[in-house]
Amino acid sequence: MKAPLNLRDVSTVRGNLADIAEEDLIQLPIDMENIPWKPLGEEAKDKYCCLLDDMLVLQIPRPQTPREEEELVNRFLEGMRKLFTPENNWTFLPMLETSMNYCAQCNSCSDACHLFEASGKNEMYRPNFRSEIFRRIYKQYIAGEPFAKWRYGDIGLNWMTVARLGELAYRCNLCRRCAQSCPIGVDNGLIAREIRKLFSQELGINPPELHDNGSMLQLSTGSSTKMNALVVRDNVEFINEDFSESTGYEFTTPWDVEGADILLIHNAGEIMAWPENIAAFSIIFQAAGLSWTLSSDLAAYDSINYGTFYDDVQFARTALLHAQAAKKLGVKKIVLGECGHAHKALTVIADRILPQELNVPRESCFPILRDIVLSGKIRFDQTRNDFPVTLHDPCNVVRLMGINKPQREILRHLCPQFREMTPHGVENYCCGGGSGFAIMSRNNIEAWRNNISGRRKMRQICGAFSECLGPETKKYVCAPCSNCKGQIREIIKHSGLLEKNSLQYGGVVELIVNAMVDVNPGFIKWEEE
Amino acid sequence: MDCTLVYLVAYAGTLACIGAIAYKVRSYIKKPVHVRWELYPVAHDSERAAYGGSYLEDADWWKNRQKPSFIAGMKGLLIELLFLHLTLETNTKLWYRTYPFHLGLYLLIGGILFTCLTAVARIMGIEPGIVLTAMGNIVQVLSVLGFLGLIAGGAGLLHRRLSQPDLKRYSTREHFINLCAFILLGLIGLLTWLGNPSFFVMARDFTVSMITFSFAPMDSFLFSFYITFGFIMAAYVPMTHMGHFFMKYFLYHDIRWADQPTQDNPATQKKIGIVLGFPVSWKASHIQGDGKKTWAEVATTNPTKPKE
Ligand code: SF4
Ligand code: SF4
Repeated sequence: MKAPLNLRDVSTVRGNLADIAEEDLIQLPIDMENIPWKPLGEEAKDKYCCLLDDMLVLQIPRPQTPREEEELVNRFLEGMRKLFTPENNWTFLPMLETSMNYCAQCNSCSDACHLFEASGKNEMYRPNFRSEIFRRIYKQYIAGEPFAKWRYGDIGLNWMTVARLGELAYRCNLCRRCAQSCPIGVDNGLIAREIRKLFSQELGINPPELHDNGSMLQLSTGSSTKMNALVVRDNVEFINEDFSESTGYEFTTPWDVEGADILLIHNAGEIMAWPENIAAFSIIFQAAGLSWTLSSDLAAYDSINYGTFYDDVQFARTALLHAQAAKKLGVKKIVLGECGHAHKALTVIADRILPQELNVPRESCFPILRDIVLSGKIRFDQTRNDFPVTLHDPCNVVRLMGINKPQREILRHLCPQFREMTPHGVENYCCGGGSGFAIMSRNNIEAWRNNISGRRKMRQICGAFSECLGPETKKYVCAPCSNCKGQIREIIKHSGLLEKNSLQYGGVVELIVNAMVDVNPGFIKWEEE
Repeated sequence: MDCTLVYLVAYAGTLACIGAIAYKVRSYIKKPVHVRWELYPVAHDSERAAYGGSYLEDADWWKNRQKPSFIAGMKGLLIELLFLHLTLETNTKLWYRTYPFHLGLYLLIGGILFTCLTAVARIMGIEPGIVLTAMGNIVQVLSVLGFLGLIAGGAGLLHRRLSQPDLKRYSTREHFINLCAFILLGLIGLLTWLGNPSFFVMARDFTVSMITFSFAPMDSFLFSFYITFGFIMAAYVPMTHMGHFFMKYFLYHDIRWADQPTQDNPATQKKIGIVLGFPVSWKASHIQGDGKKTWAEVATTNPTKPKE
């Protein structure tokens, strides 16, 4: 292992700041294949600031002249100043300012981070690494603390510092496990998000998957999947027909029903990638006799809100569209499907963004599903779920919302071989795809997700199934979040873990329908389709 | 020995300490409403804090949400403050050093409170009975334990910051200066305690003199040095990151545990109305804040649709 980084290296080192050798990564008890890290091409290096680790999320245009270098620093500082004004950042200012001012530099948060641990404690992934660089710039240039340079040390502010900080903000899953372990309440995840925000809201630099093909697409066509309302309705119709036939359970999916009790909002990615999840919701809600609907209004059929990961303005715009659709239909409440960030975005963060007239009650799908399952309205045959099942806790739903028990009560009721991961609940580890990474696959991002960010979670999954890791036992990782499923799917697929270890994944609703007596057996498939 | 200067430093130190705390608290609570950003477990949810649950685990949670328990919240904060339990859990080796240090400070603060009580009693002419004598003895014990905690914990922290490469990389000049200053304070205090018949009596007489503005002379040079240095530290600490000792209240109650839904809270609803009228000046092309457009206007503009 190379000598660990010093904070000042961000402004002085030429070329890559860090590289992570395979032998530094934590070991796993299964045959997980690393994706080779490919050096970035010359073209990318000429065009963008490639100064961190051969991974490129942000694509910051590389300044070509000293003047452009200076301009990048000045624009960054201009944005940073705005981050500390109530007008521009009322949303997060108190959290940011306290996180700047009260960190004791005790590093108690380091071991909480799955990236730090999985990378063999690479300094770049220490939660406080990027925070302290940002903090020192703040104290010296924004807060103007007396003798700041002398008291805290000068990390050197130049274009390389700025470019690396921007990229470093995307070496974090925003899971906030580090914040949970901080005795003072400092939030390194928040700091990473604020840096992302600065780049997006001031410099207009953001990952295309989150912005151009994410929130902007959602605002223009209604969904980051590019599906407009017509296409979504067609696809859902197809799902209804297809699954009615295969399950032997005739069901429909209601659209735009005025005055329904519930507006259900799915992550539209499920329609394309996991149609069984959409079908399962429709089957359960119909079987339980709920009054519910989907909406075909702009953005209201896709619960994603990628602004959650990088931009407050985009966040607010999307949340407003979701709330307006509910208001228009006159529903009693919005229920969010199995999508973690959408849960957190609309239920919690938007709570102080929506004007009162749009503050329609919003809740997670898990309590209502739990109530249905335990109510006795639907008959279940638990033997259909008699295989080892473990539960992944999506950070946004559990650590950040405290929704912990309902999904467990469902699994305990329906899955005789349910077992917990260690640790679990609010102390869970991120799947590795959190904060938008699950939808990114370029410039070594897929290698990063497979080799580093998803590694700790895979170790947990192996731990939960330690006595039955072999292919002879079918095992199910219940990951009730589109983002987490996307991440786990990629890892399973890349290393062939379905074939090698009979490891399958899916959500909660699939397990519910799989055990329904009125549905043909075999809703959960154990082979790749 | 004429100690006017010591008294002046003491008054200035007290005012600066109170002023700095008041300034920081005020500037925090004056900030506009922020979004919810809670992190579980939330201590004031007395039924569910043990496993990190929340009222959001109930369908139709808005119909019969249990009110937060103030006592459970304070209990959670006090456990963290008094035992530093998160540090114990996440960084046990550091806890063995930082806990004696913090405990030393708590004991000294406790000693100061008792000293103030006995000083007030003396000013009021209350004869020193069994209670006041016991208080004096307690101050003696609290002080010496406090000094020892500061010295041992401070030296342990200093050693750890110097000997652990990962901690050293994040330790600044300020950390080392602060720790040395606390160790020095503990040492002067300890020497004063050892070199005089009663530390308590000196502290009480000084407090009486301070309260009554009588500027009584002090016999012990060490004690006057201790007092001067102590009040300078009292003024300095709240201005630095060590102000976390009082800001923690807000970091926990107003951020980490702030799970109160807006619909229950007309005051928050009003505040949201205000912030949505704030002007935005973010420059990115999808925002084009010009310093005049408000948050409400920006949020209701769809940058992908032609302007009407
Ligand atoms: S964020 Fe908290 S735990 Fe981490 S170094 Fe700062 S004070 Fe310590
Ligand atoms: S938020 Fe999560 S990924 Fe980011 S630094 Fe903290 S623990 Fe690591």
